[in-house]
Amino acid sequence: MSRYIITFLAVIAGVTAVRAQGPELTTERSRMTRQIRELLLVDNPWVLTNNAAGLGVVPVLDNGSTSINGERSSGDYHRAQEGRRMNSISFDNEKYSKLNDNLYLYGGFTMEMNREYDRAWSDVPDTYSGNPYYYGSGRKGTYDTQAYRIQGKLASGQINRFHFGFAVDYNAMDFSRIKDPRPRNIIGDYTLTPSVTYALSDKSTIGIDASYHFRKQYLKSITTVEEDKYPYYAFYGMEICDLVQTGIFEREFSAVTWGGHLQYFLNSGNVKWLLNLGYGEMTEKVWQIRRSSPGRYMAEIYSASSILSVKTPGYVHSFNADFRYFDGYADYYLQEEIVITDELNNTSRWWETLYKARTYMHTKTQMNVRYKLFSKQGSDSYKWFAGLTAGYSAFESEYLLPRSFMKISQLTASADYGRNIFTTSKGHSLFIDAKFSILVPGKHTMRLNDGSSIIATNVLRPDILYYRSKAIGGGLNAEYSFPIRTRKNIMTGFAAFHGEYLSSAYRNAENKKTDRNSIGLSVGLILN
Amino acid sequence: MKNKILSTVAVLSFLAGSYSCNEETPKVSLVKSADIQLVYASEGFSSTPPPPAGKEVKLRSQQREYTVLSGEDGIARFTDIHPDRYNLSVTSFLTEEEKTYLTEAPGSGIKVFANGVIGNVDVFYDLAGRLELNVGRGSNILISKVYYSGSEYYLETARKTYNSDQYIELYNNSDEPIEMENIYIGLTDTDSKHPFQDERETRVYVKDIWRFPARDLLPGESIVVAREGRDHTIQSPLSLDLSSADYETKGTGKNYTPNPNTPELPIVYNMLSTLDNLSLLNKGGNGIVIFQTDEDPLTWPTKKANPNSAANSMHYEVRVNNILDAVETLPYKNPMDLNAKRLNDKLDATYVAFPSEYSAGYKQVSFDRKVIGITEDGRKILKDTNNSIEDFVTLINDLAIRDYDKEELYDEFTDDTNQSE
Repeated sequence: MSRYIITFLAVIAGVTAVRAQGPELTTERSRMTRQIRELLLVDNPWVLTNNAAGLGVVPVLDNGSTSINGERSSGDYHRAQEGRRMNSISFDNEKYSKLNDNLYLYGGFTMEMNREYDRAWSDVPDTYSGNPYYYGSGRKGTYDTQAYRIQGKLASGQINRFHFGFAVDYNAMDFSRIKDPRPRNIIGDYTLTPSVTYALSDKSTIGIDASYHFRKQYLKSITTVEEDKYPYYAFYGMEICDLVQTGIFEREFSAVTWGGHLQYFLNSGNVKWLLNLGYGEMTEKVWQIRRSSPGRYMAEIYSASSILSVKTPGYVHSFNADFRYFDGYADYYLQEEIVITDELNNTSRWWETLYKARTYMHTKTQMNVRYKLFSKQGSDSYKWFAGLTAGYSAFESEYLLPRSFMKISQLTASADYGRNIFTTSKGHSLFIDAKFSILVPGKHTMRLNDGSSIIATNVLRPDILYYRSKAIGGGLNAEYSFPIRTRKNIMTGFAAFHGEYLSSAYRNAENKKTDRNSIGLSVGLILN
Repeated sequence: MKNKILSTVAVLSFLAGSYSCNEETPKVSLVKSADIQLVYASEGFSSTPPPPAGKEVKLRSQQREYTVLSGEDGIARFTDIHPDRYNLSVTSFLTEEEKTYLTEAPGSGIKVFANGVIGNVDVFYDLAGRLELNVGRGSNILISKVYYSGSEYYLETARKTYNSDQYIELYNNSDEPIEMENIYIGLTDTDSKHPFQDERETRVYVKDIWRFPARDLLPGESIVVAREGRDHTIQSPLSLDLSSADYETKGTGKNYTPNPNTPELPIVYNMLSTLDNLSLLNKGGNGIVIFQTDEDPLTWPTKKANPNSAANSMHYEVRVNNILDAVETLPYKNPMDLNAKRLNDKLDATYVAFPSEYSAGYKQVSFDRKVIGITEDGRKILKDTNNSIEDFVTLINDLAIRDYDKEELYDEFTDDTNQSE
């Protein structure tokens, strides 16, 4: 399967690259900038959905970007299973391209490398996925991540009111701790999403996509665990955990998610609105030593989003709202190994599940509303923008026997504003935007059956203090851009700096107020 | 066309709905009741005794343990049990009144145990069961201490493991001297396929046999049999000094370092010539038997673990009737694999095993038999119910031999200084 995916992506990448070299869009007048590109994407709500066919419903002008980004973040304002400091570097590349009137393409490639310091209690990259069967070291260590993502979307032109599309998303990750006991996780996943849209009228279109997502994660290697030097824990949810036996630990996850979305799209020229409703169901199997299983994790995911853009002579309004509800639950298995030796002395071993019961539940709710106003400059760019965002997030984790639970909710709000400071006659420009954000804790309740357990002491109690703390912060982003001319082409080059600071009422183990800051630098190209 | 679209959506919805109809797993909840009816096995009684009342009944899993006393009707009633796989056991002594129902009534003050065990009892839902108690008297000679985990030490910063310090200690739990001449130690097979499972009710198959030299073992006296009878703390500081051991097994392997000052325990048979010393699996998995016979064990029947194998894997049969005492050692598993037992429930109703956090071995873990009484002349009486979980305590970093004064051994001490055998 992966061979076909890679072939498919290679074709897309090749076509995209050839297309990008075409001479017809390489005039000074059509030079793509970040601002033009952003408005292009605001004008096409289908790009925010999984429905690849939508790329043909509202064709996007050729555009893309490529950049190299470096970032450093640090501070004590973090959850117990996150590191204190992280350095990361990434290479991002994406491109929308119209091959001809019957074929629209999108290709994306991302490579990211992280080094996270002073991290403990989680040796998996997706600590907060809700799966309780994770594991981690009780000693702080340094973790390296290498991740690759390749995306491809393909959409047809209109065929009897239909557009057909197909999307592939492939991710590979290596996540490893570079101190003993040196667990190394290998993660691979892919998503296949066929899709179709149907034009009900000139203004109304409906769409549907269905996706198959497969994810596999396994702990490739672990050096000998020594309980006293490198205590290692296998988790079961909330404060329940096992101290891993010396020298013995394996774990593997295999998740399949089936899902889909229904879309309704209204296009009246200056007003574009898309409603996207989704449902997915995931089953994640968990394996451990000799293919026994401690249980499985399942989830149902409901999502809804509304994407609206309104163009007026002087402004573009973008109003997006999304909602996601994640209902996860874990079953516990008590298994017995069956060993059978036949008359030829061949031995077969397998595990029989003696008992299974639902022991853990985890729900997450996320809602975000974002309004962004663009003040137009010319026909396709903007001079400044102003935005407001509000968000609500909540989760609830519960272990059933004995009952322990944690309920958390948070409200976030942010405002941002950015404007073009200058543009020279040669096309050099400086754009600066600033952001102010605030986080207000909502409900934060925790009841533990065993409040003295090692997980309660080192993870859950610090986390509840984190979740009930206010935080306030701001950020600044400055981007200098300039034209780059080649013999056949003209592009926009840019260099951007960003910094962010967040101050929190959360107090760390030394009872000091905590904060978190990050700085980053990006250089890259905006592509026609 | 709209109809077609609606049809498509309906089909997809149906498929999604069908997929989501996963088998619904019930939420975990406590088991409300588990009633266990205790009954005495008829063997040994001349008439039917009253139901076993006031007996301590235990449900024990790797994570948890519940204990109740049986009622006048002989029923042990457990409530609110965490669903798990348990061992159900009773370890008790007959009351004076109950002893009057025995075929051969022992004298006053002589302890007669009444034990029962059922392994792998699944208590997932409400349960009603039955447990039969067998009666009997303990052995005169006991395996009183077992140490096979080995120890660890650090050479600069590198962790090293060490298992040359394994030992077994025997104890005379009676008030009479025991002549050791015809007494042997045997180690059961360790084959991972458990080849002799079907025969364990009547016999045990051993891969190694040692014979004790002629001597008397006095009441309250013990014999220490070491793999290597020397001071192991020189190499592994957390280990122990076995230079005072009564015997060592005098292996000949290149890694074996005998102590010329420690007498030899003569080997009668060893299956693998490369392992001709007291080599116990350091995670558990050996059954240890003490047996007595006037015959030559080498004239007893033999059997290979794998009949088709050309390899030398001959095991000698030891009949259960010849066995004086036995201890099952099992490697830790959750749940414990009772199918791996080499010994039947009458020889050892349960087993000794490391706690999970010590299950990989090399952590100075030993098993010492509990002291349940002291006679007027100061002799310790050790617990012997042929149920190792009940009879032994697990000690960490306390490997001392011939020491029956360790505080942990006295949890069940009755303070009855006038006990008899």
